[in-house]
Amino acid sequence: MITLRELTKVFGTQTAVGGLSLEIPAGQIVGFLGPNGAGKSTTLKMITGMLKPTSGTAIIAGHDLATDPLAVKRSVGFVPESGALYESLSGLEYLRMVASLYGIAAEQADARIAEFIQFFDLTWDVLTEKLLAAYSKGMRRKIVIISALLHNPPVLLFDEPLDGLDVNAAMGFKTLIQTLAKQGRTIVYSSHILDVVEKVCDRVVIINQGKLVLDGAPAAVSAANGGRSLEEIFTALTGGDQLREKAETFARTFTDHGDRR
Amino acid sequence: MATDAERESIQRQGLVELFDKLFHRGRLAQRNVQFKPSLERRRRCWSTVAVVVFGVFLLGFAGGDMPPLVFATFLHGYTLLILGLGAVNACGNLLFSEHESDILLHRPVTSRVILQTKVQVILRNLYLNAVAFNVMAMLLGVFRSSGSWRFLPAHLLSIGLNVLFATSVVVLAYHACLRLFGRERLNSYITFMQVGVALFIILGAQLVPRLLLHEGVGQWTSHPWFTLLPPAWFGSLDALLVTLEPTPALWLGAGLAVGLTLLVAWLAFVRLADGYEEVVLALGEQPSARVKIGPSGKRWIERLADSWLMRPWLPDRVQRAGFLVALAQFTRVRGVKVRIYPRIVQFAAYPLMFLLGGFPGDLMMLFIFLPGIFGLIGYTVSEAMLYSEEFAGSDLFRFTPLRSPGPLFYGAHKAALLMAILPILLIWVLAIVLITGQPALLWQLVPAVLFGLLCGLIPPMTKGYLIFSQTEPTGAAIGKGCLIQMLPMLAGLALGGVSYLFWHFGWYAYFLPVLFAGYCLVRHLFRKAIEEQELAVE
Repeated sequence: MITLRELTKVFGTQTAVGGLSLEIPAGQIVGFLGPNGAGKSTTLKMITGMLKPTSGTAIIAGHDLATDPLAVKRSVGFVPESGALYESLSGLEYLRMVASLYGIAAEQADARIAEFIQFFDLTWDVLTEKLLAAYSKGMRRKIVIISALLHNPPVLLFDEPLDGLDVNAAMGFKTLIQTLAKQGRTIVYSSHILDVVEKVCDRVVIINQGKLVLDGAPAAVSAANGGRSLEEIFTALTGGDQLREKAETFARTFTDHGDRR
Repeated sequence: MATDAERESIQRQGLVELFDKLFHRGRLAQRNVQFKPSLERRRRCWSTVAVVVFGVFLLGFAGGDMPPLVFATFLHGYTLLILGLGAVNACGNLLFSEHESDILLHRPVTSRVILQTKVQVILRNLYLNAVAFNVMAMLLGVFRSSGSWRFLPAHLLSIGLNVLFATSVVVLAYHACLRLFGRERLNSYITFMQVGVALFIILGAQLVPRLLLHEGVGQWTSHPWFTLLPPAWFGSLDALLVTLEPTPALWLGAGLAVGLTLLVAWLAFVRLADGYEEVVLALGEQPSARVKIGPSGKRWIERLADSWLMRPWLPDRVQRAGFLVALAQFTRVRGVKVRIYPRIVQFAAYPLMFLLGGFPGDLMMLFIFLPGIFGLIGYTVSEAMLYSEEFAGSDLFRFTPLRSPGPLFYGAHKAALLMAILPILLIWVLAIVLITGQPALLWQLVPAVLFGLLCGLIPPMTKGYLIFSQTEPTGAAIGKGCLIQMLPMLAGLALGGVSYLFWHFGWYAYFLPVLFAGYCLVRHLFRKAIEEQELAVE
């Protein structure tokens, strides 16, 4: 469903993603991990057609990103990390606008939005009478997630989707994406919360400095690394293996400097 | 299953509705959580009524028995100025929205469709505003002694061309800036353009008519430079269609109105459409966030704060922090820049009108008005320092152990003096010396400067004032602000009148020490009131 071959993005003199190759079949949930600045968001933005790759190819749901970007965009639902919205629209206005971009007529969109509202515990009153600027962080996140799922895409890309969601909403969302994967949708899930990735994903991909450094099923990866947890493997691969020692040394500086109140 | 044509039609309709809402709600609604979408239609109606009423002022300039060409040129001149400001704001906010890439660029819609729908919305709304602004003048054009019913359709057509021309020129200017300077400087450029247009409006709307009136209306249409003015082109089109008496000059003007408008529109919306696609993609790329660091390892604002000149002026660390925060806001935050600079430039341009007008009594009027204008500038800048889109950052000041918001304000106020007020003062000094050739007149600036400094201390005396701590002002706050602004203006006029009398009767040398003593006393009282304020916790 997703095929990346030597995908590269260079900003000026800095290589954000360097020759990334991946094959993700339908029905798989892939945890896409990496430290800050590793190139995760850049990769996702290239897959969605928001950024032009410097070189390499991406085939998404059978469409070549370089030759048919609109077909790729129709096949993809994306939750960006920023969670950006038009804050001067109400929730309903925003979702109707998004539906229109996928060619969904207003009546059909409303019926589908009503189903999402029910699932995410939102109400019509809030959706129609309040501008998005007045929504809580969790509510805004729900709107962004709905806007990614509204057109029923076969490929879903999530960049920190649980940011701001409460425990119940997060639980519901995780169950939802697992069920969607069973239905044959391909899901790329980028997050820093490794516990969730370990529980939800069928496969884990770690990139560091724009390069692939690990690829495999969580259980297999753990077994191959002496039974270590995903968190321990991640820190070892991304240069964070002396974090505990570093933190303990730094904590001592607080007592060295005394109480400054 | 929808066909491609049906899908594109739904897409376009959705985008038009989106950009129309963004155009009308703008930044104010974005931050005003009390905004009710269901009350929008009524709000828009009232806004249109306000524009119609505002258009009445055109009658004051364009009434009487002006020849058709002069009459129409006056209307188009003012319309173009108002449109210019509207186009700069609309294009800056709609065409180059910073966060749009994360919302729209991964959807199946081309940048060309996005650009076309944005342009459609901007043109339609600016046209409706321009027509509303001209409604009363159009009625005058029909019913005045030399009027004709033909003025109505002619003016509706020429306003349409005027709107297309103004919008195209602004879009071309933005494109040129992006190509020349890159996306990182776009925000600065938008502010620069808004300042430029504000200055142009004041000078154009106030100074040019005064200069023209010197020669008497009707005479100036024979000047060769008249054909160079865009309002004259659209006025020529009106006159041609109304009088049906074609002359070579009218044909030339009308030809330029149609030809040049179509040319710049083609360049802006057809030729550069592909360029826009690149721009939208570029805006979506990671910003490089480069900060220039000097040899000392510090940014320029830190170097400035640590300089020998500034150190004694910023006696404590909290003031220094307020100074640095304000300087960063004044130079980097688009909303703050747009709120402060265009407004103060409008006020600052008024004295030039008196200096360049050449009417008897202009100098007296200048010195009577100066304290009021400087008071308005001082008040406006301090009041504007309450708002920023980075308002959430001010929470820092609430949970750090600060006793009062006063020292933070003093530091920020010093940054405002440096960045906004001092440059204006220097321009006035230069203008007075160079235009009048009488440096002694600079003494008349003293009451204005002292009064301006005092007015800058008024906003922080209000309860809850904390620098850059609030979102955009609400409609109610704007209304209240306008009323409160009248007080410095009126008090400044009174002070200007009194100081001019002392000057006129030769007692100014006695007046200044008394004035300075009064300033010190009031300043002491104001600062005491500010320092007694407690940090508001929301």
